[in-house]
Amino acid sequence: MCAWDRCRWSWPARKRKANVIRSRTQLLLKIDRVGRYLVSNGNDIVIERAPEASEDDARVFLLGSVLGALLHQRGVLPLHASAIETMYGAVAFAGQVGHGKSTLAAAFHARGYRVLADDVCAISLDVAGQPLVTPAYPQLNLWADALAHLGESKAALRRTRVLTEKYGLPISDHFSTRPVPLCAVYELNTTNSGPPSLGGVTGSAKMWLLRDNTFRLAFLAGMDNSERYMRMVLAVAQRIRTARVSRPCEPFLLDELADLVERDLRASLGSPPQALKSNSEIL
Amino acid sequence: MGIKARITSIIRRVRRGASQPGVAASAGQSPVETSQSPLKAAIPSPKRTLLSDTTLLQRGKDIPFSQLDDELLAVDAQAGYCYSLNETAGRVWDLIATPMRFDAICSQLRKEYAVDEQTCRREVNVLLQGMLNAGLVQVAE
Repeated sequence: MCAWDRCRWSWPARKRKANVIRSRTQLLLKIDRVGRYLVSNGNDIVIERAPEASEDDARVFLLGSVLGALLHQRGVLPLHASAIETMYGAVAFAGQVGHGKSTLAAAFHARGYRVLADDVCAISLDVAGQPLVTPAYPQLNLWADALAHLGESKAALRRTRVLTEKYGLPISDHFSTRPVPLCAVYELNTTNSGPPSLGGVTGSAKMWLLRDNTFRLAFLAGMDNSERYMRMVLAVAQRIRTARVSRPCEPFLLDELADLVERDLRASLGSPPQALKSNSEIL
Repeated sequence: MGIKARITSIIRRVRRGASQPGVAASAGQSPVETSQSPLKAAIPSPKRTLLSDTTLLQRGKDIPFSQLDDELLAVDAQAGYCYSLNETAGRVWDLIATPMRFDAICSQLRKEYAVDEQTCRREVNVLLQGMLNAGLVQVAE
């Protein structure tokens, strides 16, 4: 009849030979052959580029880990996710590297949705406690095979880094520039076989889903903002729909996956709010 | 000062801060401290408190629970814990906002839920014992 539970809020263990040095308000990141980044107080980044590093090399880490550290220092929740704007609000696709976050966002972009963020999705709370996604920069970073799925040619695109087969797809035509209320987070997973499937996540499991998909969660341990972060995860979990989506590794079944998400949005969020309906004609 | 020198001096400062446990401790409840010493934080050593009908029970700490789907959830950020209660456990938490006797808690629950007396007393006892051990509930003087 009466059930209760207590969970320890675990932070990822510190690695012994970490390339990160942290204090409560500062973080120093060292990347071999690229350089060092010092992030302070959520408003200051100093970059010392290694002589052999190109600007592209330096940019990849600046827009990744360094941006993550800055957001954590600001008390913003950076989700490891790509996000799009729908008439229900912002929808984020979270998941580990290679599970198809950016590819799925690109598929929705091809369907006419505006893109909000790629890889790092910055979530903050407004005065009423509503989680908002702040738009990032208008580019989707896609692997060569993902471009093939989408029917895009890589010939005209820029590689994000010389060493990686990742390309930047500019999306300035359909990019949102104002903060959008977050309404759902889908965590992407891959399985060996079977059609794409979707299962809702509720209760405390929602919080763990958000925690497990937080970008650079390890940076938070020992930071001034870690308590604020925990309360924020609960506040965000209360306002959104969360679900896990599984898809086969091969074939990707991109269209089926996008259909599945569209159906779930309609089923779980019902008719879209009037205020949003007026300024978005999609979905 | 050049950037390199500036970074080096900051690294030194950061390292010094991190290697002195006294710095973190004197700055109040440091999240690092609590997250790395799990058993020291919120749990006194497990002990059995005998609950009799007349034992007065009340909340041990006033942390706000909020509804998340069909659970009540609270984050005790300082201690680094997350608590979840189902509906009936949440009702008990409501009742002990002011000190309440064990038998009164049980009889109130029996008015609200279809449950026999023995089951009710046993379950409420297990719940309160657990919450007592976690410091969430205390025996009122």
